[in-house]
Amino acid sequence: MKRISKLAVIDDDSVDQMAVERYCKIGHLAEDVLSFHDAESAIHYLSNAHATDDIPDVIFLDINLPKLDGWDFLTEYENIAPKLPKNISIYMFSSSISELDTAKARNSKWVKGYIYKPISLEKIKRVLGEHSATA
Amino acid sequence: MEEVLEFFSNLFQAENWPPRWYCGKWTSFHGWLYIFSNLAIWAAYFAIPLIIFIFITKRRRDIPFLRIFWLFIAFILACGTTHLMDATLFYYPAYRLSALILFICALVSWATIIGLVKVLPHALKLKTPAQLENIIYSRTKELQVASINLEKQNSQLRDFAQITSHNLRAPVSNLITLLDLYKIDNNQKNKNDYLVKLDEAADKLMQTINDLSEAVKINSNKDLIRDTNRFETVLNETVKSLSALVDKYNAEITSDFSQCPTIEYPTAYLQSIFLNLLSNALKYSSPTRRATIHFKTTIVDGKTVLKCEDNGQGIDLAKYGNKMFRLNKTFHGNDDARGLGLFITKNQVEAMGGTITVESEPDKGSTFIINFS
Repeated sequence: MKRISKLAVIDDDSVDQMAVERYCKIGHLAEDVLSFHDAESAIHYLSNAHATDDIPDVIFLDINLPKLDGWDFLTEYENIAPKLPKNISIYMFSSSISELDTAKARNSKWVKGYIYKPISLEKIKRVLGEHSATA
Repeated sequence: MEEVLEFFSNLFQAENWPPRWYCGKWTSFHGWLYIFSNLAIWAAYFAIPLIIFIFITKRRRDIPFLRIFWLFIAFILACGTTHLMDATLFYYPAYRLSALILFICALVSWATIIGLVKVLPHALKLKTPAQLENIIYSRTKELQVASINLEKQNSQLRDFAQITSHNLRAPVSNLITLLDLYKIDNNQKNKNDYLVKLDEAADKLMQTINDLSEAVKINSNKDLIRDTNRFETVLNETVKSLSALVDKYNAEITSDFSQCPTIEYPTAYLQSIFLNLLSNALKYSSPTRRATIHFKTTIVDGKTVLKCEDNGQGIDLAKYGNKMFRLNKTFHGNDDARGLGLFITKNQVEAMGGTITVESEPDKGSTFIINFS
């Protein structure tokens, strides 16, 4: 499987954060994993990253975040996206099985898919495979 | 007996009497006035039952005391017949028949009276439209209150559904992930790391379950005993139990309970409310200012009001106001914040019929206002 260069995880749960990093390492799935514990720092990073290499190919976005939540991030992302040098595939990353959340994710033009927690090696492989196939 | 037999066998015979015209002295005007009036009464007395009949056949289901209506019909018909007979006697003096008709009319009249007397107490109990309107009005009010309560319970249930969806799913998901990592990762140092984190995740799950059972308890405990509590005492106990946190933030805690020093309230709830308000104010104190937290009680419209004012981080209410007291909402990325404190406080206050509101400005501070019932 083709290895992607950069994956970003926006999640306040340190276990999930660590798990994505470890899985990527174990499965050689991404060269680099960026970790953000809240939406604000991710928005700040994306707004100030200009080099294509600095921009993640894929973002795993948790819904339940302190202060700004995942949906708020998407609202902000609307403004950032046009200035970015490449497209980012965003996947919602949540333990919520609420129909409301999944429907919201389906209706968002920025969201490519929904990853239910618990995360696993297979889930990351599938999602990144999907990304490589369409990218 | 013989007379009775004779009466019935000659019921329609009229030979024994002169027609009424020839009985006494009648002027034409007098006689016709008599005849015409009787016929007019007869016609009217037959028309009235017809109208009642049409009415009851159309509205049969809505009419109370239907049998009385039938008795009325019979009564009026009988009365009408006596008047017809009275007019007929001018030409056809069947006084036996007339007597029988009068007798039947008497029977029906008394049957109607008996029926009326029987029905009267029930009829008096019937509601007037104004009374009915009042009843409907108060029922509607009751239903409105019930529906508001239901809505409240509904939103609480939704909150609980959210807890199970997130507060429970998140730690369980952590457990599963950590176990999976433990299995597939060959690095021994990492494995130890996973074990430590597994331990933490299990603790977190236990804590969440305890918090949940506490929240459920509040919702099912409606009949708590109200004791007289001194605000001063409860605050002092709270400060003592949070002394580590108070020292950590070097907080200055002041109070003014002079306007309302005591309250009748379940002691456990009051302690829990103070605990949550104080720990909340401490946790979200400003990193740049010394934390000052002021408690004050007043009486507004006869109700006790408690204010807890701090100079902490505050919060943007325009953005987060409606989410403030929800379960599982934390705003500052604080590790201690499980988002349960304010939810529990709100439930405790509302379970006793009170309200809790908040005023806040980012980086200025927050004021929580509890309106006790």
